[in-house]
Amino acid sequence: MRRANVICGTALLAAAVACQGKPSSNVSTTGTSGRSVVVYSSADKEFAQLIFRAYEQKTGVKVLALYDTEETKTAGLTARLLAEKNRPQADVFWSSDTGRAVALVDQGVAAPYVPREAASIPSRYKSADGLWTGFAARIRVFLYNTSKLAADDAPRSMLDMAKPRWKGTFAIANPHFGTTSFQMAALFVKWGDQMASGFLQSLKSNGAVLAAGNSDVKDRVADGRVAFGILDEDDAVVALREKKPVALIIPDQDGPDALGTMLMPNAALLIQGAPHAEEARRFIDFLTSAEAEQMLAASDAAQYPLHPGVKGPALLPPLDSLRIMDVDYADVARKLPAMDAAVKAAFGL
Amino acid sequence: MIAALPLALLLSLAAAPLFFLVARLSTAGIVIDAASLGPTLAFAISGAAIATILGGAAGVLAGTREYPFRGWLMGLSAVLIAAPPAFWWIGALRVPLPWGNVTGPATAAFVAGLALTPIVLLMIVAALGELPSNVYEAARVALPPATRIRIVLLPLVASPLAGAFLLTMILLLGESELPFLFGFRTVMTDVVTTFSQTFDVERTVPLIVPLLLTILVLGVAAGRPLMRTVLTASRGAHGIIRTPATLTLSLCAAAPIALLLLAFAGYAGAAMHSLFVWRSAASVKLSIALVSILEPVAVAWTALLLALACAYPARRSWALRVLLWAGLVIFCVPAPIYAMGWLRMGQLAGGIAIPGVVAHASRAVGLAALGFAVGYARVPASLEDAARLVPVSPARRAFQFVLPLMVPSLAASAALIAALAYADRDVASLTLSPGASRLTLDFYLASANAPSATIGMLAATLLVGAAAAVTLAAAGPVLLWWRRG
Repeated sequence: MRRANVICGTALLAAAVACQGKPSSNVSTTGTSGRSVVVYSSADKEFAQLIFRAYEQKTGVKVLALYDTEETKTAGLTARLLAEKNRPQADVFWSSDTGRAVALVDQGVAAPYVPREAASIPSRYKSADGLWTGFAARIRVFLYNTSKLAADDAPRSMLDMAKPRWKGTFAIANPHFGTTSFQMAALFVKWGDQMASGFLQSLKSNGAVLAAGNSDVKDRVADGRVAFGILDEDDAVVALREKKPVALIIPDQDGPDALGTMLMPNAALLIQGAPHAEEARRFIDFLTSAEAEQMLAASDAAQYPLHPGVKGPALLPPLDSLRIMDVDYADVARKLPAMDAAVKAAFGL
Repeated sequence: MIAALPLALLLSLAAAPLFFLVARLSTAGIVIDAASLGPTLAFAISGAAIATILGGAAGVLAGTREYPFRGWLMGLSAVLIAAPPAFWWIGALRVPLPWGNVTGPATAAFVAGLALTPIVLLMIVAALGELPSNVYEAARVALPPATRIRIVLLPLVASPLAGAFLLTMILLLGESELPFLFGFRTVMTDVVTTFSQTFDVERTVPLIVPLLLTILVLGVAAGRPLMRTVLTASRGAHGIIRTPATLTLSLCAAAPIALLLLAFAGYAGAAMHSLFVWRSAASVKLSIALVSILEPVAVAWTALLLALACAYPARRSWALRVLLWAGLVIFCVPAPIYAMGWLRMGQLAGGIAIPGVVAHASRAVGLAALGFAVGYARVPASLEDAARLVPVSPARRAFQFVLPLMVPSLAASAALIAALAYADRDVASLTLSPGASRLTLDFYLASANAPSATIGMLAATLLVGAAAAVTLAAAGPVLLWWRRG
């Protein structure tokens, strides 16, 4: 009898706790104001929470967040947004990946909204019709191991990765995903399919070590398994903060014809048919504001503000001193399938 | 035939989201793409072979020999199932050893095989526990060890070995993370890649079709002999009597947990890496840890109870074999597909929310029904006939006399279901309500950018949680029926 009681008790507890995850079409958890906004976020949780907490403190509106990251394979949140397209649960999608945000816009998930401070965000970082608005960007950098390379010997350009000198000594994240795919697709836009495909082939023949993601690239460089790698600046900052034997270089900055490094803004989307549309608009106003960008720049996220006059991240050079690759993000997003096919051909992935 | 109706209905309900998704897919213009099928099969077969060899050897040792901490070592090794193989490999890489830049399907298959070893081990131990002891004792007297293993033991465990091989192979056919990590292409990497570029489910269909056909062919080829051997296995025994093992054999039995220990050392090292330890401890929320542990337990018990309630009446029906085969095929489909189907069905039905437990249980009922069949096949027919003479209701008879004899199989099924549900993060991201989370999802999110100490702390919690979930799930049948009656 006692055994049965134990079982029943645990079963009831398990059922009760398991139902804790039950989604609801009418979210009842609200903030002190009795209001809430549902945000799906593919931004890193640690950084996104900074913004959510600040918004809750400022407005009393509860942010109900659901996290995911498209950068490393799972596409659960995106699949969910599409599945919920006709009866949305989310109000806002905060995408850390501009390309995927544009692709989602093409699927009709977003509704137009021009945020309050959007006027001061350069037009290349937002859609003209307000379907997505960019904010707080990251750049691509080289991270090198200082015990393996001296600063003067480190590579300076993406094209260096195709040179025999660096054969088998560098890592890149899987080019099918995340910011690496976005950077490669940008090369397809800039150089054309033939040259960009040739570059991918040369990376393969030059022994590029394929890592699972940008943080894996960081770990391989920090451990000395490779001499250098290309990754996002926030991953590089993590290694610097942890006092690993590494340093970073911003690629393609030298000379008048330099390609420039890739800049990738986060993107805010108002979901078409959002259950709390008014709260969603207010939240997007905050998310894309100079105030939120300042917080992200000052935090460990070390992201570049797009609003002019906002102080950038401490460990990195100012944005206006950098040469940025000049591409249209919608064009880059639409190049993703062509780039994907070229990656398959080059790497057999 | 009527007796099999409840199980047929249960399996149909479980497969409802699959029927729904298939019905919604447009078949026009689909050109099948089987380019990745070759490497996928090579990876899955070699991984399953490694798991079967290592797990089979460890299972035979654990089932026939007595050595220190035998039970603990088996329990620990089961924890390996409760996280994806990539989790263990990434943890092991954190140990400062000369790893180099290991790539390629061969190493990936080895890692996958090692991580799935406990599935084989558990199945072999469960099978050995139900073998007639007199047969093996006679062989012990008459034959030298090598001959005894070859001509007596191996034939006796052939069916669980075949089942374990099939099961691990099916699990590896759906694996995408290790191929990404080791830089090669499989059907699942193609599916994930295509979806992440296009967000179009229909464009993944040409890739999935060859894999599904392969699984069906495998099911047809292996299912029938497997069911025949499973359902007609020897009945009535107290298992092989275990004899003391030498120190070398004892160490060999502990080998499967080498990967676990290495990964634990790697993550623990990361957690202790800096003065962030206390800050990172705060990143683990007790409520999330509790839910993450108890949800898989709820899945395991729900699936097991449903399967028992529906399969027990059909235990002597000819239709049981067909339904078990259907259950096996249902189990072959990855849980996120069920989540997607339930999600869409809920949306169409007016926005009804479906909890993740339902998606996991949909997939798991097939496995639970198989667990029941394996256990029931070893219940002595004479005992069940004798039990019929006792004037109690059929339900009470089952509860008091029959089910207690199937505890090892039921406990192993519950542990396996809980481990697989615990390791999931895709169903969580599809079905969780905003504001909720799970340990695996938190770990995955943290590994993108959090300090090493936070990642290490979350990984250590994940490991402890895995042990707790597996133990609790297996404890259900054990507490309920152990030595009852």
